[in-house]
Amino acid sequence: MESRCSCEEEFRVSLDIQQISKSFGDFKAVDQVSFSVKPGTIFGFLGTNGAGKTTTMRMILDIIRPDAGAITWDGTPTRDLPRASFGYLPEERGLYPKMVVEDQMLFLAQLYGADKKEAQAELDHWLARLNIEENRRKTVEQLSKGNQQKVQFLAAVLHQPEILILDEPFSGLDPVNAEQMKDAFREMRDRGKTIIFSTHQLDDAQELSSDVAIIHRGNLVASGSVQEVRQSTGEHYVRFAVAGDAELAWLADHPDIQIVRRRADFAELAVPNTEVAQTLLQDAVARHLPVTRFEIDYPSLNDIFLTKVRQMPEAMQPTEEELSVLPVAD
Amino acid sequence: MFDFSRIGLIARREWSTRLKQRSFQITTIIQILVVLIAALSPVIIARFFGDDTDDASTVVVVDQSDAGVADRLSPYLQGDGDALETIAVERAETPDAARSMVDDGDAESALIVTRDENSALAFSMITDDDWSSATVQRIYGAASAIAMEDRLVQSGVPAGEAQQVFAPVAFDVESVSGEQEDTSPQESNPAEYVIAYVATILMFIAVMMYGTWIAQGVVEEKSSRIMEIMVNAATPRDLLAGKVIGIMAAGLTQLLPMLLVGGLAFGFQSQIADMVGVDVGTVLDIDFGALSVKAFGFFLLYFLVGFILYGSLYAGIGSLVSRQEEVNQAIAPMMTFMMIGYFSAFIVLAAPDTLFARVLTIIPLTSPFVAVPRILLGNPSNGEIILSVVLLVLAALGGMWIAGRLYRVGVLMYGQRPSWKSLIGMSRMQQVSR
Repeated sequence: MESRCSCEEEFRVSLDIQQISKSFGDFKAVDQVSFSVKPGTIFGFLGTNGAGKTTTMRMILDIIRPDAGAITWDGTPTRDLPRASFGYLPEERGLYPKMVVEDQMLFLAQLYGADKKEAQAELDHWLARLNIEENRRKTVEQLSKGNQQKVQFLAAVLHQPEILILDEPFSGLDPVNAEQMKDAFREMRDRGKTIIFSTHQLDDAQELSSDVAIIHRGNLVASGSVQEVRQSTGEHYVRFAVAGDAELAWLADHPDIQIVRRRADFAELAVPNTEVAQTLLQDAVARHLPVTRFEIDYPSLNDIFLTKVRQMPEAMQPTEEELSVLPVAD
Repeated sequence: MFDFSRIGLIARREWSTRLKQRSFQITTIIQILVVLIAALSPVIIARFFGDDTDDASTVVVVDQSDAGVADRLSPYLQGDGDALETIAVERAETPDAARSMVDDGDAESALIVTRDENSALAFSMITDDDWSSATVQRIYGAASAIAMEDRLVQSGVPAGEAQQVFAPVAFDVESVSGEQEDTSPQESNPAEYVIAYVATILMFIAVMMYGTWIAQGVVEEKSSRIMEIMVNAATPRDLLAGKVIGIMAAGLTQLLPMLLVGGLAFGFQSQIADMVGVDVGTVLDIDFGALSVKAFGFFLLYFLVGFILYGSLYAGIGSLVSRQEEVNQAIAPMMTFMMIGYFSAFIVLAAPDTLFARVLTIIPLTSPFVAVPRILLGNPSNGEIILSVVLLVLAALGGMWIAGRLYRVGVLMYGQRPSWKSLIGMSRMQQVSR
């Protein structure tokens, strides 16, 4: 049938955040932030602590309302969606400590409006999927920290929401549990769900999500697909290693090449373009140096964040504390 | 406005969580036992600590004087048909027989009458009582009169005249408070007064205890941080309503069996007394059934509506604090109103028809505590009762609205408790939008 504007239809994105702002008193928590999330994808929402991630997520959930701007899902304001559309894993984990896992999960799923039998089936599936079947009849306070977090995830998914909002889902998880959690995200994505998760571990986002938005002190720094954002500065990174020469002192002859950081067995170099990278390799060969690693890549999201933030005005420069949560800041 | 299936879900969780708590179960059982013991205390006292004899006492007279003392004693020991009991007079042949009657509990005391060397009457009384006993005093008085009459006859006064001199004196005791006695609730209907008194205390304890449960529950949900999931899944209004209703249901689960057991024990006191073979007297022998149904009905009505009012306020205020230790301080202003209502109720108990009582019966924050004693003991018009209930219902709705506002501000707020002034502004607060 005819549509009023097929072009608009085509470009319409599912979750559209338009120019939202929120202040608490004099504190501007979120300032005119816009980004879009495609349906059926995993979206990474990145920033340091206090950047406004939680506030933005609460606004998407309509727990708090923006002072200005709009948030729509397929054209409908999120505030008008049924509560069961959303699953939420808050940053501050919370469950009834003395309530049995199974009872509690079914209670919360029903509170969202889910059918008890369907929630029970989902619960059975996820308990097995996350290897926590034996915790079914335990109270939450009897669980290990990692298992509590898995149960917290269950509390967000059992009612089969369309949109999952997960605030710092990996914090406090050991690598094994973090991998299981990531697999669970992918399963939800494969079921067609839209997943938005926040993290200050920017590398997690790089690995898991197709699109990201980075915010800093309430302002949007970058957004788009992971590739777009990583290419957004135009810079390239070279992972470079020469056997027996960890110092790489001769790089001083290349003023357009910067050593960003030194790793145990290689160095990360920032180069303005691929030609400069080629020059570097030719010079190393000319010097008869045994090159053991030469890899051209785009900057990581982490480095994009740092580069972009450092271009910002003085007042926006990150504090030591904000940087300390970044995994590879040095 | 409300999502009743969600409210029901939340209320059911609150209710079943409380019922599963060991402390709840133990408290409920202890309360029932205490009430049972209290309600049956007259029977228990009579059975285990009272005399085995009937209340009306009996004196066994062993007359070794040939003065017919036993016959002459009776007129002096008549009761007045009210507070003064008649002391029955029986006869025995020998002091030993009399003593054994006392020992067996057939009589309270024995009186052995002899003549001394001057042929004057001499009395010897065998009893557990001492001189302070009213029975001993009355028998002494009677014995003195008979002895003196006997002396007069022996000294030549004609028996008829002597008898007239010592005829029992007309002696009536009247209370100082005079006719006020008739309107005093304690005197007019002790059971009514007891029920009104118990209802007042119970109402206060129930509202305070279960209200505190609500406030603590809200703070617990905040401190365990489940609140954020809850406000995402449901509206603060539904959370509030579910919590109040759930705790109220748990409270009623604790109160109703206690009231039922206590009421039945109290109501069937005389039957229970008969079963264990004691007499608890006539003090409580009134139409208890109709009275207790009325009292129970109004108690329940005022508890339900009054608790929605106070319970909502407890929840709203509880949502503003982050730690259990701060709860008491935060609810202090509201407790003032409860205290005014509670202590006023005792004034109303003493004088249920004053202007003071009438006004407090109508004001919603005090009416839950004052109305039941006034309805039971005073003479409120139907219009006054209806006005009181209607205003309380409106106040309960208003209380839920205010509490809902506070809840929206408070549930996601941690740290410093806001000042009342900043709450009125509210615009600076982080609050839940739904």
